[in-house]
Amino acid sequence: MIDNLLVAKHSLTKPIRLAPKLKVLLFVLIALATVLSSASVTLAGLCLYAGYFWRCSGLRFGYSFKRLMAMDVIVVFTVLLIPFSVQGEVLFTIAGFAVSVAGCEMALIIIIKANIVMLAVMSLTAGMDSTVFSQALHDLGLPRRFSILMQFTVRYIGVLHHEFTRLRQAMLVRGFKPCNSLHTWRSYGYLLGMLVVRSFDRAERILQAMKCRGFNGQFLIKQKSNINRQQRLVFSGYLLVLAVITAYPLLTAL
Amino acid sequence: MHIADGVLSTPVLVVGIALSAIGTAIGLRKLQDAQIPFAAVLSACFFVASLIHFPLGPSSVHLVFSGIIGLLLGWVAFPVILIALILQAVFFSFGGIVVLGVNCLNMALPAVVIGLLLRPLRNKISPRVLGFLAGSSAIVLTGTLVSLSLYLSGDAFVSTANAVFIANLPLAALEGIIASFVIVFINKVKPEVLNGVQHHD
Repeated sequence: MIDNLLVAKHSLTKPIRLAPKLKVLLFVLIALATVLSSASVTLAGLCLYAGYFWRCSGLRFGYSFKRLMAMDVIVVFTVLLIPFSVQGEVLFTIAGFAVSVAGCEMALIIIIKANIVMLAVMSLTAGMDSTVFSQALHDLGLPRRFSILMQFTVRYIGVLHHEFTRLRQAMLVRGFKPCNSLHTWRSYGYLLGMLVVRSFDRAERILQAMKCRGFNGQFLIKQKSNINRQQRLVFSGYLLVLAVITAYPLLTAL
Repeated sequence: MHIADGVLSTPVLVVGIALSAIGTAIGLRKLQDAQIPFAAVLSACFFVASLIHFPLGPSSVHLVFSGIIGLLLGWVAFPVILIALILQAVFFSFGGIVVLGVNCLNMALPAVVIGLLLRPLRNKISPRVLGFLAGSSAIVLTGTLVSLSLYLSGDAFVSTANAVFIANLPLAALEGIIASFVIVFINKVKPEVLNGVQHHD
């Protein structure tokens, strides 16, 4: 799972020719449009729109499905009780509890919305690693310290995960078997304590190394992202389609 | 803990985004450039810790350690938790995008409150009690805030809100126990860590 963060391993078949910051902006706008709209025709349109980006991303079906399902488990738990708590026409009853049509519709809309947003996010960030992503956030105007903190965090997630794996391996070869016991919890507690202590020592060494190299808090930009006319045109096109999908119910009502 | 997009009502989302933005701004203001490596490495450390699944009853759960994050990082918990949530939403598809503000507020506000309340007590009470209080109360507070966000989003979520709150109680107990061992260990091995990032220069 952590590999996702560090390496952009997906090759894009029909790459979306947009600068990372425009892709980030686009998925945020799609998310906003999805969350704020309630008309079913708009949601269907957004579903197709996100599906189009998924096609362009070249992500494998199995991989995308697995990632969406992992999220859906949590979403289903959130909406599980809604069909029972919303009043309305009764669809059927389970053990004396009435399931309403309105409740089922509401739960279904929530599941669809959550999936549209995540499909768009997954597709538009395909092939983008977290370093490029945090640079894109900085380009979009997020504070310098926030991007630096994010880049540093990503850099050390891999390192500390490795450290954690080594520590746990050491426990496993000594016969440690996790179960429901105070011993398990104590061992994990000490393991995490050790991880925090080592993190602190590591941070100390990083700071010294950075001071040696004259770090003054500035963000060193690998390459300046320039957005050419073609990208601007493509982005405007995507925005126009999004605007039409979102405003469609209003347009037809006129 | 993660609420997905499409669940909460617009006013709740707007309040979440606004308060998280304020909290993050305060956190970044308090973070000196020299403290960035400490905040980042601890942030990575807790990110890794949140990937571990602990056995609890017949199932397994992952913990968040927001109490310890609050103890060690204070207000910096806001940007640290926001970064973790952004990375999880974008690269692992957990949570959502518009709901990031609410999710961040629900986890970071308890962390900050616990940091402010318990950090002055770190030399006065035993590390075991300090760890348990930090770990468990952070989860109880987070559970309360998650329930509140659901509760304020409409009548349809009242029973879900209650269920979320009750489901968080065993988690709070487990997180309290493990956090207490973490703090006991840190206190024995490197007690200066408990002074937090802000006191480090």
